[in-house]
Amino acid sequence: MSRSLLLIVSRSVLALGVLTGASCEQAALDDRSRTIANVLSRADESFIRDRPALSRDKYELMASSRFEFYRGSFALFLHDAEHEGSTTSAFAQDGLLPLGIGDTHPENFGIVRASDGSFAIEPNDFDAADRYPYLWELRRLCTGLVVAARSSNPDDPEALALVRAAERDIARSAASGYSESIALLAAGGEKVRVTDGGDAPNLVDLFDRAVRDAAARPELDASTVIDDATGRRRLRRGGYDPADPHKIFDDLPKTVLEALPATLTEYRASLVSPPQAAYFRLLDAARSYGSGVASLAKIRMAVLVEGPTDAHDDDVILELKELGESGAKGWGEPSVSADDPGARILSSTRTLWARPDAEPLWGTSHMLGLSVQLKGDFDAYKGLKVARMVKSRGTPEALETTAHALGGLLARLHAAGGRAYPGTLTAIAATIAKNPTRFADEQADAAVRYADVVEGDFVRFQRVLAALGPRLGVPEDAADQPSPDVAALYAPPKEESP
Amino acid sequence: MKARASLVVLLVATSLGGEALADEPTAPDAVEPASPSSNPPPSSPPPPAPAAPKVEAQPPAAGAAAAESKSAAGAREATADPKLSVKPGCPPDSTEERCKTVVHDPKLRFDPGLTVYAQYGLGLRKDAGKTQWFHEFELTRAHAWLGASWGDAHARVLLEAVRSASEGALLGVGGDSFVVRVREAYAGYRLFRYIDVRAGLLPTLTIPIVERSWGLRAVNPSGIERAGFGSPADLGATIVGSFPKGFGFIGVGGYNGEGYTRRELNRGKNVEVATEVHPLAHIPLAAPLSVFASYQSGSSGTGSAQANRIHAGIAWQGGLIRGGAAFGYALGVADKGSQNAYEIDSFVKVTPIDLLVLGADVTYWKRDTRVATDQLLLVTATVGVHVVNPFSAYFAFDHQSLGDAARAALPSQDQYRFRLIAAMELQ
Repeated sequence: MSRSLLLIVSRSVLALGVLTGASCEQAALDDRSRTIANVLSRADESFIRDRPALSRDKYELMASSRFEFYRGSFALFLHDAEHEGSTTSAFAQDGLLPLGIGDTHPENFGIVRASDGSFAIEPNDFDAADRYPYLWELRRLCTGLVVAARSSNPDDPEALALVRAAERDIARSAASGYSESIALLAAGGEKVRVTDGGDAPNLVDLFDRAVRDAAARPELDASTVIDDATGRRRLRRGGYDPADPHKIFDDLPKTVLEALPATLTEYRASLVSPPQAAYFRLLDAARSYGSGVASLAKIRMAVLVEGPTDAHDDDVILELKELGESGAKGWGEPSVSADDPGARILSSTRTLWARPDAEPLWGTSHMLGLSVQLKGDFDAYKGLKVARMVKSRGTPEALETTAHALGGLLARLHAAGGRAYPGTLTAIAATIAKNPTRFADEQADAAVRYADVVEGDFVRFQRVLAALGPRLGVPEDAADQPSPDVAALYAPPKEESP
Repeated sequence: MKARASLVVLLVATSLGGEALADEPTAPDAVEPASPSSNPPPSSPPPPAPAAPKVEAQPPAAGAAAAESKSAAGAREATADPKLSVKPGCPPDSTEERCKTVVHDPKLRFDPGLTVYAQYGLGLRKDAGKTQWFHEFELTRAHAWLGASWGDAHARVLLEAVRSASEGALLGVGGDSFVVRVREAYAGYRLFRYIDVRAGLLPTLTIPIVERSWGLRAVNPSGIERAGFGSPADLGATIVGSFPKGFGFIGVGGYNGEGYTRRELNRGKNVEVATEVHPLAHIPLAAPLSVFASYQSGSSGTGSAQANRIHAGIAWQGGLIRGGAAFGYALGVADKGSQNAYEIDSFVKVTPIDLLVLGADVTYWKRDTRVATDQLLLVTATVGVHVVNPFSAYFAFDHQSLGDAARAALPSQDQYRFRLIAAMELQ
């Protein structure tokens, strides 16, 4: 009797294990790996389901380097802030929720050119723009700088070792730059538009190359040709960037091409100082692949328009990108989160930039019901790149000065983004003023600590991909197949790059 | 329809006398008493409720003697009425809802229902050192359902209104319109007298017990739900067996484990075992005493992160006083298998006179057992008026205090909230 009972119990336990247990692949994953899989797959589930090939490309890119992983895992950062205590701080204060760009990693800053032709360094990605606790954004930046430092000088072990030894100082420099600027701004100091690189070699490099390319317009030669038959400029098809084989232009479905003029009309109306309508006469458009990391799976297009005159040389390429959610939870009272994505983007750019027309072609629109963003796609718009943190730009001093400047820039964003919420800037300043040294130390330590987590997560993510595949375990379902029109946009490029 | 109305009156009157009958786990397709806030919500647990304690034996509550007398007489009449047909699977003397509602019925029977909770809320909090406030009208619940039974077979579809985007999401339908979605859609069959089997999108087993024990769902969801320890409905199947003579039930459920708002993401299936016992059901005065416990072995997400749950509680499910405490322990929360959390939910509801309801709820939620200050304390006090059946109105005051770690993780939470709630349950 007892033996039978034991058999029944053991079989029941086995059955329970089958019901609740994981697959063999999942069983090989540790606890944190499961969290990574869960969080990223939840954040990307709709993309994984309806455009799996593009999601696969995104995850492959994320698995290729720790910094790309950091760029693509903002959802994990937010999860850890909410559930892992990664943002616990002696300087946290309830309600300090300035509008910000959210995902403040260093590569989301770069050069833009204002209506008057002047260049400045500004945030250049507003996909995650929303209201966040001020410390979350600062820690995202500081950690990003540590991860960037660890990814610098890939071919120079000695230089890398020096930078790694100084990584805490680099993060601390960003925190110091932030606290110093916050104090100045709270005391009535003017918001500073960063129009030169100062003593930061990485920023000087940005300005130098921006000025060079602004005149030469190399993007026209690289990605367009003059059509012999029509005499008009058109976008190339296939791979167009020898340095990056993933960058590909492909034909667009007819329905999209037909919808684009209306999209451009609406877009023009969203600009601060719209050029003449003829400026946006459509010359060509192509599906664009291979840009971004977090947004790699989003629909992107290159839209070639006439520009200021009918001449070929001043044609302009616009980048059209699908908009989505910010990732924020809508903390505080309803604000940008309660509106539509386009309004969120417009509101954020004009509030956070030092001048609303910092990039005069940055606007929003709709395309076939999709909320989209358009902006100028000039080679002069140089973004800060970890890959260029080498040699003189990859020294500890170079990275510290860059970090300090970015910290100061973030403070300016928070001062601007907090204006709609009176008292925010003053309260941040007062909180930090309690002990600025300790504040900088705390952020530096937290950044190094979380960078270690990112380091481990990067390896774990590769295991997750190996175990669960490029869908991160999201089951396939025939019902997820998009309609043929949409499928053409969600599909991977038809041609591989040469 | 008239017969249904009189049955409702009967049940209300009975409930005032001790509510043992109405407090029995009620099948969702059964007619529920008309006093909305004092009774199980439509997503009540699935167990059938055979043989409730004899209503005649319940001592009347203050001010309810007449109703009690009427209800007892009504109950006797119901069983003595020669027109009554005894439903298959029902004993002749059963007071079970399911059995009584077939009184004049042929085989097919429908049970429609509607629940609407609307509220105006004013929230106060400290932002940037200054007191900020925000106020809005909200629709916290809008449920419409239709149950149908044919003999021992039964089914139910429950629709709910929900914002098409949530948690700060921007991409809803038509902005962020209210849309209707399916919350329950299941088919079931009653086997023999005590077993109910269901499959489909169905209510889980634990949350309804707590909600029923407090009886003020219009004011707050259960602590379990607020802490995110469980979903009130999921895709799966349940088997529930009722103990004889109103002693409670035991049930087992197998679910996808992602709740009713998400698709299945892993091979693992959640298994829930739950029981509610009225240990003194045979003693009329003590019949409302209830103890309950449940265990759920589960996983969540594509990584199959552990998500096991243990719940236990004790409650008094009386007519004059309802109250109790529930404890929930979560092994694995927030997609992290090694993070544990717990919540303690204590609640009380007093109905001193027919018209008036007083209630309170205190929930302590430890979000992470390893972090000393990662906790929230949520206090709600409410006073309600049963304006006219089935309409009630409540005023509720909420206070929330957070530990440092919780405050860092959950920014800008309201510290105080004042709410005016209108509740209607039409069944």
